[in-house]
Amino acid sequence: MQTEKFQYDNRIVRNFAIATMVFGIVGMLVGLLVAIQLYEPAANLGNQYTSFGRIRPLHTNAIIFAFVGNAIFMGVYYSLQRLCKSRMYSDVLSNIHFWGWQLIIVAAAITLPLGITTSKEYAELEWPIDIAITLIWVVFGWNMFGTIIKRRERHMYVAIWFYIATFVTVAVLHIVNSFELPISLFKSYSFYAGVQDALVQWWYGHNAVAFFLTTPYLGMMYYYLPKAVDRPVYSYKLSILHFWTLIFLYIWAGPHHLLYTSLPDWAQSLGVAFSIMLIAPSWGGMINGLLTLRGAWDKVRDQPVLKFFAVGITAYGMATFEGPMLSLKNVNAIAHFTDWIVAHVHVGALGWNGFMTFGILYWLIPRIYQTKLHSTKLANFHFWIGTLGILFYAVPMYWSGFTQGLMWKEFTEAGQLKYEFLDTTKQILSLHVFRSIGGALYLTGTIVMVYNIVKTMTAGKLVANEDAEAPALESNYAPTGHASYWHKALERKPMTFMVLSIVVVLIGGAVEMLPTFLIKSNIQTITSVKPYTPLELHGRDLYIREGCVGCHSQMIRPFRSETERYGEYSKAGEYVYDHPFLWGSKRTGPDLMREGGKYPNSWHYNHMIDPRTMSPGSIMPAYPFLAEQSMNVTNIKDKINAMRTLGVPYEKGYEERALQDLQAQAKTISDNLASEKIKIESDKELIAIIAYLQRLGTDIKLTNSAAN
Amino acid sequence: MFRNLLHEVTGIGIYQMFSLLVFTAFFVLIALWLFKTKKEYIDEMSNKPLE
Repeated sequence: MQTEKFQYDNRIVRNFAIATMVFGIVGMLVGLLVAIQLYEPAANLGNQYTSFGRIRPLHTNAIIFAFVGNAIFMGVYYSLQRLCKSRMYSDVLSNIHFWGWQLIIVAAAITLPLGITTSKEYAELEWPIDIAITLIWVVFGWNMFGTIIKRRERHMYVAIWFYIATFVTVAVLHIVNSFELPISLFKSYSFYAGVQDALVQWWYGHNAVAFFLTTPYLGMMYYYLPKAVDRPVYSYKLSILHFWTLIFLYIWAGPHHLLYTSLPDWAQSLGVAFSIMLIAPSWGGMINGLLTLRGAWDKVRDQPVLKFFAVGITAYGMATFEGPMLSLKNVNAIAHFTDWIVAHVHVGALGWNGFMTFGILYWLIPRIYQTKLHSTKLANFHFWIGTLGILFYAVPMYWSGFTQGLMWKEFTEAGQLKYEFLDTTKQILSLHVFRSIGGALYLTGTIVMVYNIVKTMTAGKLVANEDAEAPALESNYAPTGHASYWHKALERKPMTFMVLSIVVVLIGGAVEMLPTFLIKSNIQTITSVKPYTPLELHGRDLYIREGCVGCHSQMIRPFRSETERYGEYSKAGEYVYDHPFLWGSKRTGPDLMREGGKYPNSWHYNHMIDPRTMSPGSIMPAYPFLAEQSMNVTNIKDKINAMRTLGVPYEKGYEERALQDLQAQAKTISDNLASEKIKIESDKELIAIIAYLQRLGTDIKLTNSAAN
Repeated sequence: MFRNLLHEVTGIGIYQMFSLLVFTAFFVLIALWLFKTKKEYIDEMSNKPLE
């Protein structure tokens, strides 16, 4: 058999490595800033571009898509070439992929602080960027499949299956969740409304965790862990079983993000059942990882790479046990909307994604630079300060979550709620201080790592094109004996493999979502629920722009502790005109579902200008700029038309009168404020926000009072 | 409490049953294949990263 000579492309791996380090630091810095804002509102820096609602999505997007995203591409581009014994399919595609992805990150970093957002979590970027993501993702897939097809290795190692599943599922998730109707270059409305939007969003959100933060990292674990410890994975059979069951089960579990909400009960139950079943494949992966280290724990003692891997895999095991527990309805009743969830995701992000990335960087950089790591001592220091950082982060957040979740539910003997919402906020502030210390420790470790890696890079020289050789594949291969089993045949056919992965993933998505869409007509319409007025609609868009949904839910669960505090529980029929839905996933502030009519307009005015005048001790950012900025109502016509296209029953020709109605309603509010000695022109943005807040939940209130 | 949403959908229970059956069938299939797989193949595959 003839041996072919070729070269591995290490430059592209190095480029992604640099990007992951740069954006890791940026993402963590922004994270630290938002963490401080949660106990010191002055840290909002007194301007709209750095207020919590706008930069919290910047933090999450930077960590998920910039830090983790670039780390995935680094890990995949290095291992895929070696596992396929082939250079990447095309250097041009590699470079388009690299620069395209960085441009998308830059676009996100510009648009999110400007308030250009869809408000759907981890899918905040507006439609032009969504299209760019799709294109670049296709380039990545093209490059990957091209490489797999021209490989010099008959069978695909399990890591590659994880990469393929990642590619196809993220593509499906991104496209389905990004269905939106553009009304301008920077603004669109979700194609779905209310309950359906929520279901699609959390089908996406949950599986983005699964197929962006989990499967590519499992693939990398199956490559880099055996490499670092120099022995094969504990059980290859287990890895096969765990792969198929993981990708099959994960896709069904999304509804566990919507327990006790207005989502149909059967969908919630399905989500819970599959979440519990998920423990098995997740722990299959964790056990397989940890047992690969059996008999080699002495190596863990002196190799920082293995230390990072061991703690990373352990964090994965903890988070994937906790996830199913959180999806039990009785646990979720307390945990949902609290810091417990924040703790949970950070065990995953800091422990699993962060530590696995660090381990791979420490292993990979010295190899492609043909040198030794600059300092093992510093790497060990990074490991310990990072671990300490995770503990200082997670423990206070768990404590804070339990505390607040239980305080919200506490009644006095007389049967009244024991605590005001603000009491529960003040109770947990010190824990938030500790959390930011934990984050700062973790960030310090990362900075030390970057120093260490840069020193390593300068000491060595990049082997941009690494020589390799392997025999070519026989083209007329006829499998005999045990090699003819169907799965092995599948592993030789990457395209068939891809299609099968899509099918497996789609079964879950379809069974879960189709009924909810097909029964659209069965979501009880509530006659008193009317479309938003143009001013309210504009206010709602400003609410989206400011990221209010990051701290305020609009979903009252059917618990006495919630109906007593906020009012009548939420009904699915109330959200039929909500494109996008704004249920929220965290209550840093109180729920706003029934905010309308609770306070006079003047209260809202003063509260928005400086929340602490109305609620001493509040940690909400101040919004004085809303009273200075005029509303941009030039596209109100387009908004009404777009909403009508999406099924909101504005009568024909209403778009022509919309502006007039908007101005009339705004004047009523500014007149009302004037009667309370507050001078504000009727065209200011604050007026629209007040109109929206005063509308919230009132449709149902009106019905009830009419019935009485 | 939200069951009223689905009153008019007949046989919604079939979705739970369908999902359970599909998963069980799928799981059994994979497990069967794993039982049949030869050790040499598994050893060869698990050594791939180390080559």
